[in-house]
Amino acid sequence: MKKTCRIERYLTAYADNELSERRRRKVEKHLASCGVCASELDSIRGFDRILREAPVAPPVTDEQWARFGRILSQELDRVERKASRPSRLREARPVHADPRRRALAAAGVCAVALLAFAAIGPLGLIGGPVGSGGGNSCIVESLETLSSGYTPMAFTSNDPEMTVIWVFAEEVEGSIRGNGPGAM
Amino acid sequence: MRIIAKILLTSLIAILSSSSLSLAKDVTVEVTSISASSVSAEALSRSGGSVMDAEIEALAPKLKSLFAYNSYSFLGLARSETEFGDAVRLELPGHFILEVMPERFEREGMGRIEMMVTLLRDIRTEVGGSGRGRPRDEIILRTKIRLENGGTVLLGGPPISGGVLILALSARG
Repeated sequence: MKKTCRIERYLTAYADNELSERRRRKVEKHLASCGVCASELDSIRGFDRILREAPVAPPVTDEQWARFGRILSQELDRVERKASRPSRLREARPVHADPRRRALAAAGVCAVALLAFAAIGPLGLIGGPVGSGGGNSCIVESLETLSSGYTPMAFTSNDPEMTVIWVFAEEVEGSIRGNGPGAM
Repeated sequence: MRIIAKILLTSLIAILSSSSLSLAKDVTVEVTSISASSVSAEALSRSGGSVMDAEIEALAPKLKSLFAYNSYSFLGLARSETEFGDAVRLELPGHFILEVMPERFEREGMGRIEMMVTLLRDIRTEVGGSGRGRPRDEIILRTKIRLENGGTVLLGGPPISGGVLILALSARG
């Protein structure tokens, strides 16, 4: 195993001349006695030289970028397809094959169904106090009065959503808003 | 494996008990009785624009929007439970009676309760001039409605002590 010096982390900064005077002197003192770090410093400087001397790449055209995008997309799709196929098989096979896992899955489904049943309540209804929830949609199937002097009618308002079944008594002036009979 | 068997057995028992509960399902019927009237401008200004009892504040926006009355008084709240096929008789202020018989439950969406609603008034008639009265019901209104589960329908119109009776009928199955 290669032993690393504590000073090694400062070598890049030293090569770039970014260290404080005190730290720089410390590094130089260490380099005088450590061949490994001196070699590392040579490598860093050599790499910097290569970068400086490397020819500048020509600008990438839009066509090249588009082609690169297409190739990358195709490659990603291929990798994704390849990766997804075996994982599905890995997940599916044990559940069907292992009766213990199948029973556990069934128990899980039952537990979830029970929780949903308990939350929603019998017959799929939402619990809660009367008149506090639900809509006010009401369909009037039939309407009649068996007493003389009354005239029944029904109307539904959209805003607010409410159905009103009103019995007009002969001796009382109607007081329903809007265009209904007896509107004030 | 024994744990799984226990879970399955518990699930089965719970499902069976829930099913039996749903067979004997009750319908809760609630009726809020309100007296609506139009008071004079002078009385209205004294009360700050409109009169609305605290018990019916929740209904206030709907009442004000639907009707032209400016005074709404809470008369009472009647609540009862019944089963499908059984009528419940709710005694209301002013000798009014509301009979509600849930007939069936429609499971579409939130669900609807089909019910027969009959508004009656107890009229005491003189028998043989003896001065004693016996109750006789006058059917003011009979209607079959399909109310959204938990929803409210307003029934009203019959005169009651200087105003008209408005009933907010709610049902939940």
